Amino acid sequence: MSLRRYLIGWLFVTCAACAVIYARAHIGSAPLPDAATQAWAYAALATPPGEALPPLPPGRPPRADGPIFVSAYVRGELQSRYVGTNDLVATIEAARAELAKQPLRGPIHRVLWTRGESPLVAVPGLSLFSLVPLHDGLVARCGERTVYLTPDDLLAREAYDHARKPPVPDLTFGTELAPLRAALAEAVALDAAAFERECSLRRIRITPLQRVAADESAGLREVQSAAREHARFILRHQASSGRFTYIYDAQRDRVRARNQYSLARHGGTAFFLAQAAHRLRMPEARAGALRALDFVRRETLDTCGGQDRACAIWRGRVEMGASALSALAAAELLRSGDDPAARELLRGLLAFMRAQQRPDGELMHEYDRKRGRPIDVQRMYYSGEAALALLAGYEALGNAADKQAAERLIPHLTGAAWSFFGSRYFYGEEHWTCQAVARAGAHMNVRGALEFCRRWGEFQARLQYGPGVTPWPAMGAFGVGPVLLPRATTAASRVEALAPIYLALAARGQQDPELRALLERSVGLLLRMRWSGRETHLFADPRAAMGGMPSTLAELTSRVDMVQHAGSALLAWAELLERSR
Amino acid sequence: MSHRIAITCAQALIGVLVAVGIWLGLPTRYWPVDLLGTLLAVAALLTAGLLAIGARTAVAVTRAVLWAELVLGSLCVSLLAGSIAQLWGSYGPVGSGGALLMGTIACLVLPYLVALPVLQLVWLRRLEPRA
Repeated sequence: MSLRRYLIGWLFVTCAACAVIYARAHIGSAPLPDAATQAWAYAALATPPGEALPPLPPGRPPRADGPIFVSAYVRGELQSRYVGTNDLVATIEAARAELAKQPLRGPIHRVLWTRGESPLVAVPGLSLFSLVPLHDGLVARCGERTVYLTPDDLLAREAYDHARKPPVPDLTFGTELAPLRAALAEAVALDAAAFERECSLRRIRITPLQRVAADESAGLREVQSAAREHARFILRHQASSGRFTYIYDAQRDRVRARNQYSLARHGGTAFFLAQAAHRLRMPEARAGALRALDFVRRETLDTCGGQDRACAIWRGRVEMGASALSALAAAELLRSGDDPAARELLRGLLAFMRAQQRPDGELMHEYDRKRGRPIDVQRMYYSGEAALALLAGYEALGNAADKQAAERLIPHLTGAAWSFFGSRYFYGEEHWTCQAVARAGAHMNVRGALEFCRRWGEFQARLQYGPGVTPWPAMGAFGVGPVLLPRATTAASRVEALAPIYLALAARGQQDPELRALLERSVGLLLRMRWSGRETHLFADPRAAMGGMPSTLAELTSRVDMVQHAGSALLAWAELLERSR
Repeated sequence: MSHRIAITCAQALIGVLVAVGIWLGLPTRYWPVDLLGTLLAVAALLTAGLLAIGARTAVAVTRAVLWAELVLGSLCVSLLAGSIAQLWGSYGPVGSGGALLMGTIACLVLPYLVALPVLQLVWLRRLEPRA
C-alpha cells in the first residue's frame, strides 16, 4: 500500500467512524410539559382515591418519547413503581389506581419523563462515560420483557461517578456498566451469558418532573437562611464529645464509617460554627463551636517546643493545618463573647505558629517532637490558614507579634512563593491566602497581595462554567472538562476568598462587576446543590438531611467540610450584600 | 547521506520520547500501552542504531518500524477523535476544557507518531536503490 493511499484511507475511515459514533451516541431530548402541568401530575397523585382530580392546565401536554414512570418512595426506599405509556394523563390515572391497591404511609412520589433512547455506545476505553450521570438510565429488552434502571435507581446504587478514583483528592468519575448489566440480568432472571444473548441493552434519557419550580433567588434573607440550615445540619450531627459526623449518609440516615476523621476539617467546621454564632446570632452554634474546641483541647493538644506553645497532634503527627484552623475557630468564637479557655487555646496555638516561621516569612509545616525542632516542608493550604489565624488572633488578643508574623508571611505567599516563569498563567489553591489578604487590609499595606488575589480571581473566572457548558445545572462551578460532575467545594472556597477580596477592592474604589457576577453564579450553584427539602425521595429522613451539602449532584452523602465551606461562603456573600446596600 | 542522518536522529528522538513518555510521563501502569509503547521505543532505537552503523538490512527494518509507528500513531489519533465524537454525542459540546485536553494530547501524538513517520518514509525512498 502506498503512503498516500494509507493517509487518505485513514482520514476517511476516522471521519466516517466519528460521524457514526456521534450519530449513535447522540440522544434526542423530547420536550417536557410546562411547569403547571408538571405540578398537576404531583397534585393528582396526592389526591386521595375517590376524590376528583385537580383540573388539568389548559393545553394538551406533550407526549413523552417513551414510558412515563411513577414511583413511590418511603424513607428513601422505592416501594412501588408504575411504568406507564407516553401519555401523562392516562399514566397518572392508572398509577393512582395501582398505588391505591397498596396504600403507603407518607409516600414521596416521583414522576419521570422519558425524553429519548439510543444505543449504548462505547469507544474502546470509554465505556465509563457511556451514561451521562443523572440523565441516563438503561433499558433491557428480552423478548416480551422490558426492565429499566432509571437515573434515580443508579443514584440510589451510587453507580454514577464512582467507577474510578485517580490519585487526585476528591476526584472520582465514570459509571461501571458491568454491575448494572448484572442487576438487569437478575431482574429478568437470566444468567450473564443468557442476558447477553437474549437481551438488547440501550441508553434511555429520563428527566424528573418538578413538583414546584426551583426558586433561584439569592437575596440576603435566602442566603442567611441557607447558611443557618448548614449550621443546624452540623449541630444536629455533632456528638456530645464535640466531634462532628464526618460523613453523613442521607440514604440510610447514619454516619458512614470507615473514613478517617480529619482534624483540620474539624477545626474548619468549628470556625464556621463560630462565624454563624457571631453573624447569624446563633447561641447554639457558639455552644457547638465550644464543644468542638473542647474536643481539640481534650483529645489532641500538647506542647511543641515550649510550655507556652500549644500544638494539635493527630494520629501521632503534629498537625499544623489543624492547629491553624483551631486557632482561627477560637479567634472567631471570641467575637461573639469571651471565653477564657478559648482565649488560652488561641494564645498557645499562635505561639506555636510564630515559632514555625522562617526568616523569609514562610512557615515550616511539620514539627519533630523527638528532636524538638521544626521540619522545613510545606503542605498545601497550611500557610494560608495560618496567615488568616494570625490575623484573626491579632484582632482577638491584640498581640503585636501575631501581626508582625502575618506581615512577613502574606507578602511571601503572594510574592516570592509564587514567582516563577509562567506564574501569571497558572495558580494553586489560594482561597485561605486570599481570605487572609482581605482581612490584612485593615492592618497593613496589602497592595501587592491584593493584586495577586485579583489575578487569582481572573484565573478562576476562566475556569468557571457558564450556562450550557455541561449537561448539568452547573453554572457557577469550576472545572476543566464537562464530563466530570462539578464539585461544590471549589465553588464555595472561591466565594469564601473572593467575596472579601471584592469588598477590599471596592473599598479602594476598584469596582469589579465581573468578579461580582462570578460570585453570584457560584452562590447560585451552592443554593441549588444544598439539601433543602426539594428532592428528598432518596433520603431516609429528609429532616435530618436538611442543610447538608453533597460533593456532587450524584452524591447522597455529605462530608462535614462541604457543609463548612458552603456555610462560610454564604456568610461571606451575605456580608457583601449587606455592605453593598 | 543527509537523509540517513535525519532518519537516524528522528528515530532516536521518537524512541527516547516514547520510552520517557510511557515510563516517566504516564501516572499508572497499564500493560497493553506499556508493552506496545516499549516495543515501539526499542524498535525505533534499534533502527537508529542500524542506520548509524550502515547495516545492510537497515532500510528494510526501518521501513517496517516506520509503518508500525504510523499505524499505531494514526490509530491513537483515530481513537481520540472517536472519543471526542462519543462524548460530544452523549454529553453535548465537550466545551473548551475538554477540547483543550483532547487537542493537547492529539497535538503531542500527531507530530511524533504521524507526521514524523510520514516524513521519514518519504526520505527513506531516497535511500533505496532505484529499480
